[in-house]
Amino acid sequence: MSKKNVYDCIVVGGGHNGLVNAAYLARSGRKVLVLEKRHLVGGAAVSEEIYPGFTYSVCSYVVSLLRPQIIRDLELARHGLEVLPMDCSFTPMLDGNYLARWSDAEKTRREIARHSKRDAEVYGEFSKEMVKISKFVKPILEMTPPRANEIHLSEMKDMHGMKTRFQGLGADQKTQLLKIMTMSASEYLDQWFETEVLKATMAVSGIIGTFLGVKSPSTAYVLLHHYMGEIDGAFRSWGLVKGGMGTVSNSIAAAAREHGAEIRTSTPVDQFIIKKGEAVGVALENGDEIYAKVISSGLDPYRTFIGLAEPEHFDDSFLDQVKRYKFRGSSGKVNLALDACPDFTCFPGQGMHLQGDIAIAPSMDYLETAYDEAKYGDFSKRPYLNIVIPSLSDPTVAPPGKHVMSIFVQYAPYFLKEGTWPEKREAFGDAVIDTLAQYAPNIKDIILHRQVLTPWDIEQEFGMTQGNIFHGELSLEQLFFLRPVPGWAQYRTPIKNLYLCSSGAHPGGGVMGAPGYNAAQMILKDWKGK
Amino acid sequence: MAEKYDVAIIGAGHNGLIAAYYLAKAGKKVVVFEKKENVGGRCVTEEITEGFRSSVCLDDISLFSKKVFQDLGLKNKGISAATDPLAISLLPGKALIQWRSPQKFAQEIATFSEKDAKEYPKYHEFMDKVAKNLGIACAKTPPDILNLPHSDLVDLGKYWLKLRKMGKRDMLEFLRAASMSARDFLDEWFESDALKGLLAAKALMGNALGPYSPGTAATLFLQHILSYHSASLGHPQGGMGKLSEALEQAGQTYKVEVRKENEVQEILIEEGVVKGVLLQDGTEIHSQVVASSLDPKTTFLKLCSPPKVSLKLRNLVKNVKSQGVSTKINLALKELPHIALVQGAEKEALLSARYFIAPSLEYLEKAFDATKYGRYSENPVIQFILPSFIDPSLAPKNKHVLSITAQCTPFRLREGSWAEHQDKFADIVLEKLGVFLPNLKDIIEHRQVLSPSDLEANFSLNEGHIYHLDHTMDQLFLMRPIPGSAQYRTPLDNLYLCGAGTHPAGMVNGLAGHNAAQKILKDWKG
Repeated sequence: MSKKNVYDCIVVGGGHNGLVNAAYLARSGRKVLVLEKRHLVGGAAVSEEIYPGFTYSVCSYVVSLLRPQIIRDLELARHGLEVLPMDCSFTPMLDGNYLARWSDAEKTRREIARHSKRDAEVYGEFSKEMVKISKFVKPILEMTPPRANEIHLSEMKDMHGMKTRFQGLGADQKTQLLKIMTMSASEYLDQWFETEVLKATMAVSGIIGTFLGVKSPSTAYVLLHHYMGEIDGAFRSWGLVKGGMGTVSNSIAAAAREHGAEIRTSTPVDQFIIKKGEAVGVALENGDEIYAKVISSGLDPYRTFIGLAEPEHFDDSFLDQVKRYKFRGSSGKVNLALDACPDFTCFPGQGMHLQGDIAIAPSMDYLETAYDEAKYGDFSKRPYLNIVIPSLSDPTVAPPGKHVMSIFVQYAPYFLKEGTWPEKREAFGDAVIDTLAQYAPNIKDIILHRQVLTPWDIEQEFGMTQGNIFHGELSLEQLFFLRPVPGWAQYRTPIKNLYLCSSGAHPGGGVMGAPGYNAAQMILKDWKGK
Repeated sequence: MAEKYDVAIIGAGHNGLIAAYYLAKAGKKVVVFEKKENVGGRCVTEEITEGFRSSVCLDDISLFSKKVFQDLGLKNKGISAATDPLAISLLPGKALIQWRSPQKFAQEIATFSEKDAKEYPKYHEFMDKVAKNLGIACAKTPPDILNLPHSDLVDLGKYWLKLRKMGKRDMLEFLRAASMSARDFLDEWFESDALKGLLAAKALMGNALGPYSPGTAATLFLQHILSYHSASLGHPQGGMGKLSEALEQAGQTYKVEVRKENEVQEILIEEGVVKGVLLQDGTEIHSQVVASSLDPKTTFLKLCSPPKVSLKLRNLVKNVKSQGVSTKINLALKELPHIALVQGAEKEALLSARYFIAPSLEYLEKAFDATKYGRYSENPVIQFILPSFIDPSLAPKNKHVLSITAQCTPFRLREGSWAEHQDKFADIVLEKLGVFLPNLKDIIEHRQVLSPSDLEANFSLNEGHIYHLDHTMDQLFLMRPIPGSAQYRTPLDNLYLCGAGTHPAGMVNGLAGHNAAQKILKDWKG
């Protein structure tokens, strides 16, 4: 057992942020090792053949905010990443009507006009406003948050830049920005639109992954994220990934390897090795010890600070803050192997409307009622569903004529008032299928295989505390200079040479890569000082 | 020739009267127009039935600013010091008594949770620290976030230094907590449902918000800050109307002219500049400045003729959240009600307190759920006081009035009207109260029920909101009532707002009137 520093950096956890972090460190010439517990890399961004012949994007299922710079820097396209644009957002209704928004703006306008002429007019204006405001927010995703209690020169510059950009906005956009940071998605959209199904379809982006309802203050902010979604620099694009979400992770891993990083799967880490307040390596579950100059954690804050380190290395107030950091996962996932394509009563046939995402979100009341059920500790009997059928645009994921369906489900609270998730898992799955069957009655007859993931399963399988898909709620008190805990939002931790590069750091969750990238910049910056 | 004044104030509510006082004291010629025959706005005493008088709308002055109280010399005007206990929460078979002293309160909490009893003094200390350092922000014009002039940046810098004074840990803790939900914040401190329910109920009163809503921890801070800097008042002898009369008298010293039964019909605007007001009887009054103590919706949408206000401003104002959720019920009682849980040596003191039925955060949240769907709650949050116990002048000998405020009753019902529903709702409230006041039903001589719809009609409150606007994150501090117009000055030149719909808050504290007057005087100099 050598005590020599064999590696410059060990990244714990081979999720997409860990891989991005490793790739950038390797790219700058560091010797990097990534350690992943599971048999494959990707964390929540994985493709797995759970049922023979069918490839599921088991956990996350679409790419939207992956930073374009990362795609360019790491040449992900060359490493196999291919994003398939989604042409439609389809919301079926029970009264035989539906709403379909297309990538073609004029087609969308005509479709919305079917519901409301006024909304059709406003829609374009709304999108323009959102894009303007997102341009203010976007650079914030790439900056290291300030410390808040102290102001250093470099932070002054950043803050001044923010102020200048804010002042560059028109009075209207300033007002809208302030409102959007604090209002509920429902109230915010009410100010623009009158069509329930349109508002509901748009509002859901404000609640995904969060234990809040569309009427809860502060949910409007996440609406902006939709408008920041970029594919190859184009605003407002969502996409499926050819071969499933695992392709994202595999392409980043390939880039990292090309730059010399070493990636070991099926290698669970037992704990950090900390000497005199300084991280010097990791101890594996098999007893091996590996040493490095810097350790970077791609795990969530709870698993990082409570899971892999002894409490004696932190002061009480820090640990207290980590324990108070809110996870409480609120969503589940149902993955289906289908014998045929589902048929929606309100829009029959296998048309283009199924090639994008399908939302079961017919009205604001529907969504809010789903939240009301969950907030007292039960899963929603009529949940919000976000469905994609990747096999329609990517034939590699299912046998010919057959399909895979990915259903994101909300709400499924991690903490149940009665019973346990293993007891309730199938009932939860049934509620999802029953809900969908109201809109697409043939669904029950075409299911070949069903995988139900509750927040408890997500925690067990993917190591995300309390099943939170974003490594902690994206609520105001856990964003920016407060993420993960006040005073420690700069990717550094109270343990010297230990960094946090996961979604638990600014700017948070989603398959975005920003925390991994930002943390790498911070590690390299600190390195220079050595 | 039209009459000329320096300042015309619309509405003789407490904020209007306070603004008038400060302006007149600084030498301005001030007139206040009041639609009704009495001053006070929401703070009035009216006869509910022969011989029984009650503070028919608001009945709480515990947050009234100490500074305003002293400036206006209200000390010997028959307004009693705060009661002790401050509040009592009625629970099945038990009561939680909030004594003024945090230590004594902690002893009561101990019967619910030993752990919470230990934590409470620390909580109180933290909240006091915030109040001590940030209190100044409530007595000043908030920064103009849209333009950020240099002076406002300096103010923001000063607030930041004040925050730093709290120490790194407490400062960051406050910044984190400010946007949290009351539930998440209180859950971090306490385990007792009763304690958390009571603290949240006090802060959330009047708002269309449940304690699970993000941003509601801010209402706890707001309430605590105002309370910390309050004059610690109890009950005005003669009801809330007495306070208003005292404010009117204070103004008279400096020749404030209050014209009652003089309704303003329109604010006169010429090319974006406010010139005065037009009264209902056709009289035109000219003034350098008009200050409206009415809510922003009434001010901009009803009193300004539409072509004079930009569409943008009208839309912003239209969208502020002002749906009232409170119903006021005033009862005339034949005798002293029996409160089952209130006994023993301290009974006298206990009967002077403010009572709450708000047993847990979940209860509060469930009550709020109904309002989201345009229904009233079958399990409402209730607070009540027995003012005649401290002030016998309000009722005939040995008889009493009970002043009840109940939530959550949304102004906009999806089905039916308040005229149809208000008696049903009042029955629900009395049923709930009957659990704790067993003889209540038998001793009611008369009941007055004021639904949000009645509150709108009787007190010129848009949508019956007792605080004009909700205390939500997007409607507090530099965003109250709307971003860029939180400086009391409005986009219409020479028109100011000075009412509850402006910073700091709607709960009777007088600071909006105070701050607006300071702002008007400052701008005057410029």
